[in-house]
Amino acid sequence: MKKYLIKVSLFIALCFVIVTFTMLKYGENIDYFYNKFTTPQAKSMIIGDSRGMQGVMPSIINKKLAGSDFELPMFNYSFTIAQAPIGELYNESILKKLDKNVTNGVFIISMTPWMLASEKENDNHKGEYREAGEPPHNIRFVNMNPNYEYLLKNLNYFHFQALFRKSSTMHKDGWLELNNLPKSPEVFNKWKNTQSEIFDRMIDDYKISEVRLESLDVLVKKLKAHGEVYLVRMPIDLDFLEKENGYYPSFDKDLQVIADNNDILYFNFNPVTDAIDFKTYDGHHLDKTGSAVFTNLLCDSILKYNNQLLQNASILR
Amino acid sequence: MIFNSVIFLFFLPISFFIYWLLSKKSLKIQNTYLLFISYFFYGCWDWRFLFLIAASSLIDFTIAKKIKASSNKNAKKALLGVSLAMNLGLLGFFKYFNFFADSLVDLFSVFGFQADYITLHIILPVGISFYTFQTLSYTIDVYRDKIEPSNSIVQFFAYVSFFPQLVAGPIERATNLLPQFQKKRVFSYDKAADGMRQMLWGFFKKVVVADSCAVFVDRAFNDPAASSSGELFVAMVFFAFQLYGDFSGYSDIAIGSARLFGFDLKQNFAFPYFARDIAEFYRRWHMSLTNWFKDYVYFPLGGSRVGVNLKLRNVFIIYLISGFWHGANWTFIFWGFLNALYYVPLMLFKRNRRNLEVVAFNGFLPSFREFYAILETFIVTCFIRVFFRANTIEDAFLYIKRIFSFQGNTWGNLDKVAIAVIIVLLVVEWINRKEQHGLAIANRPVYVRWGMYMTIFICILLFGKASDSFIYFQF
Repeated sequence: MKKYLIKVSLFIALCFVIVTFTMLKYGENIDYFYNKFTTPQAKSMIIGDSRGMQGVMPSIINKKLAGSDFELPMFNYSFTIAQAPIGELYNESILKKLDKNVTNGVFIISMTPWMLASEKENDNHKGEYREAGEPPHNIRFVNMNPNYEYLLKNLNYFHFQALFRKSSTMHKDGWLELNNLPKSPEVFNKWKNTQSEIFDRMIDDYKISEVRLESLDVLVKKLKAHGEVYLVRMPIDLDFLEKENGYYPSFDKDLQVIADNNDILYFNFNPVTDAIDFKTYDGHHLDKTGSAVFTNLLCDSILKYNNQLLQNASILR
Repeated sequence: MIFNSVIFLFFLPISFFIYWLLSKKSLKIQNTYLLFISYFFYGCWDWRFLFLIAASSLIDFTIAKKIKASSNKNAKKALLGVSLAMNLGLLGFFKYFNFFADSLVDLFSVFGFQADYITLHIILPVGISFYTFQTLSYTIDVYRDKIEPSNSIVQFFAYVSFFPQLVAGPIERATNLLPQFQKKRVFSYDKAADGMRQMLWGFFKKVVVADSCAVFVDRAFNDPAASSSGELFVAMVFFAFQLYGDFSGYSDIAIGSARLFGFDLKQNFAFPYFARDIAEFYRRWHMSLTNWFKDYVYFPLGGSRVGVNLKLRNVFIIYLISGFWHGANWTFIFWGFLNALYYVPLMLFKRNRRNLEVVAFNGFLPSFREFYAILETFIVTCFIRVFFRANTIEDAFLYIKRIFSFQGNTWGNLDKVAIAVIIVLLVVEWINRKEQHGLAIANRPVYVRWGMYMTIFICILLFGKASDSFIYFQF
């Protein structure tokens, strides 16, 4: 038995070393979220779904806001609509990732109607959420490197084979960079049609949740204790915008109410004007160029607002 | 709980350590513990069906004892009849009720009658076909005086529910497995180490080979009209490897796990894709089921020691029952029928026992004739399997028709990884074709062994796919 245990232990140890090496060296390529849970607690955060995860670049924000009083670096803690619609579960995880000592952070909440929607069969009042059981809600440790808990609980999310292709990179600041995006109009149209069909399905199957809207208000209040909060609606193609507005006509109004009640700003970048090139690769996700343009513009808006605040404060003094 | 899940990764070593810690105690403790973990293993899927296993076990435990105690031949026969009725009744109800109800309604409608549907929403208990056959064989063997009935209820219940093979076999005979429950197990390094190797190979076959092929296969079979002839042909071949990787992978993990606990289960697959004819193929494919049918159905019907007409009847009965065992669908029955058709010429020309020895036994490579025979058998079984995989017989015919329509000149986005791992599988299994499993490499030098272990692990890590089931769970 002793000989057996030694050999099995050796085998397990070697496997463990291989897995650890792969996670440390290729963690950014083998899973869309893994790197989000290997970094220290965040001082400033981007919160949202896949649009925010790909469309808001922390590296640009860090540069643009470098001279301000904001506590940086920025960290993108957005996921996809399947994992992180607004709700008590996402709120809990955000607070877990947040450095509680921060008092002057920046918190950008990228909102879409789907982040306030729930499947019709789910009763949010009873605590039924589609995202329960998904990361980041199924893990306790969000700042551990390597994060074995995430690996064990979300093994099916990993695609180790991707370390050869490197088709995506989840940067250490939480921004997801997709490398093999469609270049031809045919592929773009195909992808856009697929997304459009997904929208249609969601319009049929999802309803707007008051509980999620209340959770957004709670989240804003909690984050306000740690700095400035901004609600943002990112730019998307006009046909998708029309679909969303048709599904949730009072979306902008509801967000504005929350913004007003909490004395924060709601930046709505829609509809997109022709003057600015917000390129999406499927109708509603910004590509790398579009993300850089958008993030710069968002930073300008934040800085402009803050300068105004500072001016108002000096006039008052 | 399934083998390729994270929970099994914890369940197995914990169960293993506690088991051997208890081994210093008594046989009773070993068996009680095995019963407990086996019920836990099954209960993780659906605890309600534990009562069904317990009921099935209790029926046969009691009836076997009564058969032994009775001196009256007719009474023995009656008791066996009760056991058969109860076991097949349960199996029939859970597995075939809706099939018969639907078929009856269809039959009535052919004659212009409108019958009401009585289709129930019955959940098929995982593994019912396997453990029912296992308990049946026990009672029949007691009736035939081949084995003494078990005196310990814990022992018998542990035998029926033994977790490695409970859900998808191998279907173990009481004559092989029950005596192992009657003797205290002692840890054997060689057995446990070989068990680990077999498990590792099983995981490779399941999560790398089978699950890599599954993506391509599902796409083609779900919408044959959207695929080219080339893609359909490749998907058909991939399905052969998906099915083999999935089922023989499961068997390898089951047999390997059992060896960790000191048990020897029977070999269930003996490299069937190197078979030179259909007879050899079924001597090497799902051997525990083939042998079960042979011993409990084919031989009692007279086997091949009867006239030609009866021989033909027996062959068709066996293959049709085998098809029906796989599922309540006409596709399986037709699949069985085609297998019988393919087998009959061999039997009529008395060539069905030609290839009893391992192919190229005295050499490394097969002769051209052998190679051709292997290829032919493989391709024909692939075509027959289209009926096994398709949703309806019409779909299967449509699928084959499209292959021969030569429509579209593409081979689709052929998954190079799937092709590579199939080649690896074939090469490794060819080298070890005389052994009990693909990774029986105990006698190789240490660097070869450890090189293989780590290569396989890296393959599983890099190319393994996540799936939450095994194909044979549905049977």
